[in-house]
Amino acid sequence: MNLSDQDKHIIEEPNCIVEKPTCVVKSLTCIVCPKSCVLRVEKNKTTRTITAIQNAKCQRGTVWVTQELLHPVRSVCSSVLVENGTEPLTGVRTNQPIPRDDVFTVMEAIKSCRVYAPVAMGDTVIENPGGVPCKVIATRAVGRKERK
Amino acid sequence: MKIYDVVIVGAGVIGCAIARILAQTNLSLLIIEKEPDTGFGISSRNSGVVHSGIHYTPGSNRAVYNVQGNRMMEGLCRELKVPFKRSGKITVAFNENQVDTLSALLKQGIENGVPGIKLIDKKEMDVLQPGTRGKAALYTPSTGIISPYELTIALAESAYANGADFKFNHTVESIDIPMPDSAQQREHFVLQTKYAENSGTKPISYAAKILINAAGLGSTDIAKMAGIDDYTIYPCRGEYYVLDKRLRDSLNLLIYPVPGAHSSGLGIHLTNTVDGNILIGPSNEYIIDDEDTSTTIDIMKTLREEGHHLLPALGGSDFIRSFSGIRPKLAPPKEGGFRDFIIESRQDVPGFINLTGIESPGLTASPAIAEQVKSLVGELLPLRARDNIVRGRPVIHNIPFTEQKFSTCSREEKSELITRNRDYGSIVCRCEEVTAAEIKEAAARTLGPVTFAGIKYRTRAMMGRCQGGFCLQRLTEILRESFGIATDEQTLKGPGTELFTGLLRTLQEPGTKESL
Amino acid sequence: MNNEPKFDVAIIGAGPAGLAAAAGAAKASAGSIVIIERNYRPGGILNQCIHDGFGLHRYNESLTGPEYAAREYDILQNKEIANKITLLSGTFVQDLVAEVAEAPGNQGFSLTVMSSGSIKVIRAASVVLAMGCRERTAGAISLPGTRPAGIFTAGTVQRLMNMQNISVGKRAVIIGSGDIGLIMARRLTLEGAEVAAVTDIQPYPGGLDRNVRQCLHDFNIPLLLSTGIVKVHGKKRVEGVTAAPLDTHGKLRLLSSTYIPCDTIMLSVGLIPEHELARSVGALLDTSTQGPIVDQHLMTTVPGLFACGNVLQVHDLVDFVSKEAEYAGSCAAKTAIAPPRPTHRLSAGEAQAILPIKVGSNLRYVLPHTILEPGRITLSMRVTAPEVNFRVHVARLEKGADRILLTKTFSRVSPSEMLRFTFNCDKMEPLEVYGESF
Repeated sequence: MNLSDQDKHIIEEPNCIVEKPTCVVKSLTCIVCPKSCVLRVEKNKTTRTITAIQNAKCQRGTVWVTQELLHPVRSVCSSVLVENGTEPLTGVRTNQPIPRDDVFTVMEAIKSCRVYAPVAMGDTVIENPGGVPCKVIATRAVGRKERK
Repeated sequence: MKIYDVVIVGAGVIGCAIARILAQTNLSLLIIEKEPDTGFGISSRNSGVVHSGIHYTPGSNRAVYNVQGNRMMEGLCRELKVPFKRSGKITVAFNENQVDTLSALLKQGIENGVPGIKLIDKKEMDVLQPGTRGKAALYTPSTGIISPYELTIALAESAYANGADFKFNHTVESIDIPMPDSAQQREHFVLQTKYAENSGTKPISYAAKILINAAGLGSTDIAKMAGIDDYTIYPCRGEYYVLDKRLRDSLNLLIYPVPGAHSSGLGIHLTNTVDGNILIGPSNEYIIDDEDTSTTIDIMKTLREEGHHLLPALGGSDFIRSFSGIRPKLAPPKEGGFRDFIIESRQDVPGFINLTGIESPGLTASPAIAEQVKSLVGELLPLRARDNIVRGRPVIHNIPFTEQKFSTCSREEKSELITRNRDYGSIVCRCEEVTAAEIKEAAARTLGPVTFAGIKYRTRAMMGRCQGGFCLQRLTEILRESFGIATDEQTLKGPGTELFTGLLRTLQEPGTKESL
Repeated sequence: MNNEPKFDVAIIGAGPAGLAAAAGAAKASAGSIVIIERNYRPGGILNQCIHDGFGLHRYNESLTGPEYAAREYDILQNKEIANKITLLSGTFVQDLVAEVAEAPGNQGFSLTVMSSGSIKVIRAASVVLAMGCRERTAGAISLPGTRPAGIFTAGTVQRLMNMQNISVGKRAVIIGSGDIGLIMARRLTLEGAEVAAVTDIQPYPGGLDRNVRQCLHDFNIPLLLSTGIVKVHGKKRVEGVTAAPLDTHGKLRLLSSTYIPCDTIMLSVGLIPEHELARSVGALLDTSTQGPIVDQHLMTTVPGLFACGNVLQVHDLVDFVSKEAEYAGSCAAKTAIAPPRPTHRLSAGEAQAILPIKVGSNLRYVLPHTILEPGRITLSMRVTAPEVNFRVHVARLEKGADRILLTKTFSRVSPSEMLRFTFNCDKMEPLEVYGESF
């Protein structure tokens, strides 16, 4: 499953995309471990499947890039309004990566959410935001505003 | 409608200097200004130099008022608690032609009554400023440096404390001149103004017996509204670069090259500021749009190169900020050079005192121009001194003025201030060491609406090397919590310059007061 | 003067560097440690970095900034060390003075610290600088055009949005493709604002590949490389920018310029270590890093004054900040107990004389700057341009066969990713560290 020599230059420029008649060749930097291998991947345009992966130094990379191209996931990090807190916002994130296509659905739930102080780090702020299976958890503690 | 004895259009350094003097008389006084604060035009965008007077044709307004103003400035600044330093200046010649020019300047200076000037040789130049290049120089010990925006603010405060009214964010749109013999039998000037940029709102009118035009770049527009079409202003932009204070000891006094015969400025030079920065500039460029205070790639590059050439110790990060000011020149581009100030009480429009073309040395001349305008007013209306003139830097809105900046206090003085007011212990601007106490005092004393630029000019916050990177976050909180200015209403320099669109996340109940 | 409390170690800043330095100092048996932090809670810049990606090396997890900061802070709650540590928050170091030694080794520092309602002097035997860095401004890059409202640095927007709940604009152009700019491009987009473009004068992105993909490609935000700004437009509020491609000499090709309407400009054009305190106390600075010159123990040219984290060199991974800071803290603790060598402030010439490491080809800088004694040294450096198949050599300065002592190979290197590796220095001899493509 080797790509031709003329495509080898792609490895020098990650996030490159080269259109060919039947497939698309992409280069992506793997994020699984600090080695950060630049993977060259060939994806067939009609079958929409991956037909070639090169330069992965381990199996985890192969698994990751397949997912990244076919079913990409993302974690969503944002902020949620805190009422009666010493600060106006707490940071939040999804407790696990969610499908990239659902990011804005999760964001809508986050934007309209509100929590009451005190908030502890790790508190679940939203369950299954917008129907997307995950939890949105607080990443920063916010105390309650003292009455003056 | 109240009929003011005098209305001044323009709260720049000229308008405010006139306002201060007239407020000390019995006349009722209104100052109309289109910006939210004093001095937002040319008055804050210049080198801050109090010139000696060697450069001006003897007998001209520029010469006479400059020398007089220079003499008055130290006492005025002492009274108003505005920082002023008589730093001295050398005008340097690099070749024989320029040395001849120096002799001519010396002669001219003596004729103008400039004190203490003398020609000096390279040895003496080296004593004043070690390592200075050039063959010879003209030394003018009477040249000084001042904070032009602080002066303007102080002049306005003095006028305000003596009963002058100020209307900020008001733009004059039209003027009805007195026509007592006409059908309307109008005795006075009536000015129609609009608030900020609001079009379609009903104009707000003010009436005056005497109208003083001190509108700077807008002065020919104001004059035209009164039917006076004699003058055209050719805006000429000067760009500057501000250097980090760490180089403050590199320059002992001002160093200027000999100006070219028809150059439209004084040449690119290094100027210390009274706060310890160094300015490089200004450049000279005639432009079309009199509001275009852009800085340009080519000139900024030239200023950087000049800077490195003149001060080899400069690093890239020492160039903190560039800005530009626009000169209201009466001399068109083909002519170049300078024309004299126009300060006239119009015969064709009685009661209209017209000031236009006040570029350099307008700042230096301002106290003297104010006295002249007062005597012009005195020819039109009887003047006497007001009862109980408030002198010095006045209390404004019940808040006295603190002269010494926290950053210049000794540790004992700082300790005392912090004990008296805990806000002196909270640093808001880290680069300039400005405390929350000073920010709050400045905001509370502001005559018109509070803006970030206004706070900047009063306290130096945001003027340091990080340019607001540290303090902006803290300033917005102070404005909101201590002064009740909602986040989306906080402006940089008036309506239309709001910094923020609002809150990222808001409570959803309609009518709920945002308590965040 | 001598009645003020004297700590073994004073640490300026309670961000990731300061927190780890405190842990390092405590573990190295410092008896009393004070951390001075200007904000009201520790965490430093991490508090506003609500995105994840922190801690992949150190904790094997992808944490958000506040979570990483909480972990580091928790280390200090450990009962063995908690009572050694005092945290002064909402406190500003106003002045740092190196005390004159009454006897060799008896030096120390006086710090004037200020907070709401109080100003006092603290003394410490050693000081660790951990103040982080600040952002380069519009003035520093000579941004041409007008100065309307709506021009911010990316970090300021990050703080305003993430900590103060303030929204700055609806349509932004981001100048500079460093990580801060990329992260904020995503942040703005997720909040419903539009990012019209991210520009960079370099022909390659300034941030990590992962961020280019997740912050720009995910949202189809155009990345305009080799592009400069011709002019900012707008009298009152930003109205747009004119951008133009740069030719090979770095000049703007004005005839190919495009106007991009926007109401906000965010600058992500570089970070500068907060070196003012170091400079004020006489420490020499490296013009490449803009941070202080240090030896392998991260001590500056002022004896007893150490530096770590972004104030020493701008880092891209906080995990390395923590490692570096732990080490600096432990060295500071050891110096508090036994006097440092050398005992006097070094002049530029003296600093040069103590076994300097020469920075060779293809490297912008190498830390540490000098080696004091043989031992295991952590070298950190950045390359001048992106390369593939790159080798870094640690070699004897003297030319000759066998001069190379250590070689590290990298398949890809980039100026935006710091290189770090350890080197066992056996002998005191002048060294050079240089890179080459193969």
